[in-house]
Amino acid sequence: MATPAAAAAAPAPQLEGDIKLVSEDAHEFVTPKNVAAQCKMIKTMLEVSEEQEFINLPNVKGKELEKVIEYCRYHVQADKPDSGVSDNDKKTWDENFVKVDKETLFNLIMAANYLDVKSLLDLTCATVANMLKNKTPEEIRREFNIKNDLTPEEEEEIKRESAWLYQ
Amino acid sequence: MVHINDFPDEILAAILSFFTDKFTNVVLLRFVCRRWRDVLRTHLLRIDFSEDSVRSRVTDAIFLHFSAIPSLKEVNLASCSRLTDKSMLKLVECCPELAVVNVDTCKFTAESLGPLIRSSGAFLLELNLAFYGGSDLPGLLELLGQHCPNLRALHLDYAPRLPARALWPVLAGCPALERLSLQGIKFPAAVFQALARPGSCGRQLRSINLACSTLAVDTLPDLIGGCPCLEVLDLHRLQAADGDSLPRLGSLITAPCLETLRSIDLSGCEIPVGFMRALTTRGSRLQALALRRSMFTEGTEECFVNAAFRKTITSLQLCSTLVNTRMLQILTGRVIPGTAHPGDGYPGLTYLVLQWANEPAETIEFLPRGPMRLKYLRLESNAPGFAAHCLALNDLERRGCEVEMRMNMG
Repeated sequence: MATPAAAAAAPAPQLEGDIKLVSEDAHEFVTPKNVAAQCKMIKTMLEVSEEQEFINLPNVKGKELEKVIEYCRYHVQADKPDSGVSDNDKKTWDENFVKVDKETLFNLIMAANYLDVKSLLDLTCATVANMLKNKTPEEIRREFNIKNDLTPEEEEEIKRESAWLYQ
Repeated sequence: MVHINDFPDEILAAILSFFTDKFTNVVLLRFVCRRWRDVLRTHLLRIDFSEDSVRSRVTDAIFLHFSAIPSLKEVNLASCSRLTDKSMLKLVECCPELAVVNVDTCKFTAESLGPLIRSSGAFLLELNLAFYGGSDLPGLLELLGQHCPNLRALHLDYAPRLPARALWPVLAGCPALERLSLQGIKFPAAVFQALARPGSCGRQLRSINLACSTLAVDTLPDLIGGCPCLEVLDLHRLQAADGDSLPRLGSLITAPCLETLRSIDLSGCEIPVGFMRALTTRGSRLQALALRRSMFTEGTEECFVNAAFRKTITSLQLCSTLVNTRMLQILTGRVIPGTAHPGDGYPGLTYLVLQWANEPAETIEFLPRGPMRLKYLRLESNAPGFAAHCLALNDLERRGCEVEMRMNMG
């Protein structure tokens, strides 16, 4: 079992200059290293070698990579203690950022997971979870185009398991 | 087109876990399809039994049936009064990476909470032990200091037996501690002196909640001086240990944390005008200020004119002595002949609570004319219906502001 290290923070290495990020569909994004390093996966690669000029990201398409960079760029600025950006403003920005169609949102989840941007993964997952609110199982299935493959016996079993809630 | 069921188990579980802040939702989601039912049984990250309709019904047997999920990181058992140590021991055995555990008002003893702390160790980030009644609380806190270097938040609200020295092992052993909640505790000065000691986590502390606690009047400066980076401070209904006088907030005027605070609750405190002036001139990061049922000296309204303060505030809760024509003019930035120009009001204010006493209902007419874009307004008054004919409220609602009336000033 892996044990997380104690909270003794190692001094952050200085990240200066730009790095070229190349998406699966060969779109190139020249990005400041400190912005790209918001993606833990890229940060690790930058730390391994300082000499590289570009990083190939074979699991992310250009459209999502652009969005992820936009997210990181905003938060690098806004999360500085002296940025003058209020928590409310950040929340509003985040809410607007995830106002996208379901396909883009799902792709963003995969990108945030692959690139390891915890806060973006949380934001996008929470946005999908929000779509579950105030819905019946049937409405949830319709929203996400899911087929109900539970047998009547299995449904009965779930009902039995939760009968205590309604006694 | 990506389908939600194309996600790997871990991601699907992460999505669904944002929705399992209510146990009844876990049951609901199980009915959607087989994949979801199975993911909820094997990969769930968060489970919460604290809902009203759930907590009194959960027995050990039910808990064990639903919670034997090794992936669990967050467990909320607040007020689950029927659960015994048996449940907690099983949880500890089954879930090695618990990060957030809430056992507020539970019956668990050190028999199971000790193993919880030892086993979760460096994974444990938040622990709520509110209302823990055992005399062995100091022992548990010592274990926390020994085993949980990453602990970020600790709640010990209303713990009836918390001796002065009991917190020291946590303050010294949990360097990552950022939030400490000590509501309703009769607190001796020694703990606050401990916060200021070298090696204590006081310098990292971001949030302290002392609501309804009892303090010796002269210990506040110790406390606040030891925590120079505080962002959230709740002194709501703080009481003085010697009975008659209120804690001397005035002595906090020079506290370094006034400049780092984002949120402060001084409801029910007696607040000298000098302190308000210091707060509004030095509190350049302050976003939320609660002053419900607070007591003020005359002229305090003028502190609210300060331009830097007005720019950052997003949430205000004002007691009835501050709810008057002058105050609403300052909030809305109306120019008043013969007085200081209050400027452009509170442009960022979105959340506002006003406690209403003798002020005529028409005063509220100022509100929609201000530059702020309120999202929420609550009027609390013991004279219900006073603002029923007030056009201003309709105006605000039309602009997307939620308006609530409450019939008491709690």
